[in-house]
Amino acid sequence: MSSGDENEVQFYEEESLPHVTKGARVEQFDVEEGGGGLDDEGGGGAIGTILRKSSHPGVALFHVGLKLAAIASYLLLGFFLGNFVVQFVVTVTLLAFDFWTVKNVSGRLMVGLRWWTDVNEDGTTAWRFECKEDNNTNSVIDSRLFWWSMYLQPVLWVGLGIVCIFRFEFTWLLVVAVALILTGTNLVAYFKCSRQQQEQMRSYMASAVMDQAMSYFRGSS
Amino acid sequence: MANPFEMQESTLDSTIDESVWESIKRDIIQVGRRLKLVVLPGLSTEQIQAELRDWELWGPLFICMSLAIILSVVANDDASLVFSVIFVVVWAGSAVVTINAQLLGGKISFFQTLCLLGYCIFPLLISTGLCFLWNKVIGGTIAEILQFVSVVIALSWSIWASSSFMADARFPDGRKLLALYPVLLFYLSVAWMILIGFQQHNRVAADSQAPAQAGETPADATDVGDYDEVILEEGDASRRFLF
Repeated sequence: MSSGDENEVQFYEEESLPHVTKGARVEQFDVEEGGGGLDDEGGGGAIGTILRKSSHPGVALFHVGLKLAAIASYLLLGFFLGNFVVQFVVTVTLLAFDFWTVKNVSGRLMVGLRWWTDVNEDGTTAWRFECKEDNNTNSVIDSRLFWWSMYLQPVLWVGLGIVCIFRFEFTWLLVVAVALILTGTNLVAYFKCSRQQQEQMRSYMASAVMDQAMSYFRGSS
Repeated sequence: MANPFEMQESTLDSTIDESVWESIKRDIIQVGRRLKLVVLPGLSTEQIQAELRDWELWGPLFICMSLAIILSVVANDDASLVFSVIFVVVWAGSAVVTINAQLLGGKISFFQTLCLLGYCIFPLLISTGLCFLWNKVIGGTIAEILQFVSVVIALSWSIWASSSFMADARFPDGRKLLALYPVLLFYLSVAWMILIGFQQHNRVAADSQAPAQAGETPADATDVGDYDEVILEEGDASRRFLF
């Protein structure tokens, strides 16, 4: 924990924020970084601090990098290649890799959540959620980065889809549809998963309070 | 990056703390095993159901994109259109077939069946590869006959594999055939697109060779010209039919 504090102090010196209370400063800093790191890659300093504060910098890099790579190949690869098929395959493959990474790696390492589906005997699909008991090992910056990117990605693709419709590029709408299905599934699944985690936490807290009360009661009587 | 606590917990049955490499390895092995299963079916019902329980769409994505890439390379014009049509037909087709089976009362999961139908295109992908090979190696009429034969064999293989899987879904009495019929249609349309694609490719290739021959023997030039016209008309018709 001491190393984390050092990093925070270093950051404040670099940015020289106005002197307010420490708790408020942490809050302000995190929000600023979560938004700035995702909108564009600009500002190596911000990315550097994210990576230093993240408890899994490599995973965080892949998590955001694959999302940006998919959008970049969708938007920019045409200038270099001019080949629809190659661009399509590269973009969809990147999207699939991103889906896999979020579902199997970055979700459990960055926010301690995991989801999958099971099939019941009658053919209906059952969601299964798993979450880490001690969520303290994940840093705040990780979970902010995770959730910001998870919400921002489908929004960006919806925007690209609207552009597609207005330009009558219906073959490209196919890529957007694939992107929306993949990112939307992950977002819905993780949203459900985090809600279940919160419920678990609440019941755990309630039982802890009850235990405390019981022991107090026993002690006093 | 590596958390020392994860190493200790990875022995547990839960997958939340496994290493990244383990996740990748598990999925790759799974895809390979399933491809083998489709080519060489012959498992008991329980094994098939266990195999289908944890579905994934990596295999179908790989198969669909490979098929679309080969056919778009073969297509002489509008490769992008061919590619996107194949992509849509494979995914939308299998989704529609699955929804149909569900509406008929089959106790099947949507993604499970999507996974299964996607994997069962694999024989057709192999036949497409063979068609490509025969075009390059042999060529001519023999190649066309071989292409037809291999696509027909692959088609029956795909239908056989998928129907043996689908037979496990418990449909209400008398509805099994109703559910299997669109599956048959689905593979038939994919196989038909493969054949049409190669046929068109062969004809255009023959067209481009024809003027060279005409140059050598001027007497036949008018004949070749007629031939060209007929072929072009046929090619246009099949193209219009396809798209």
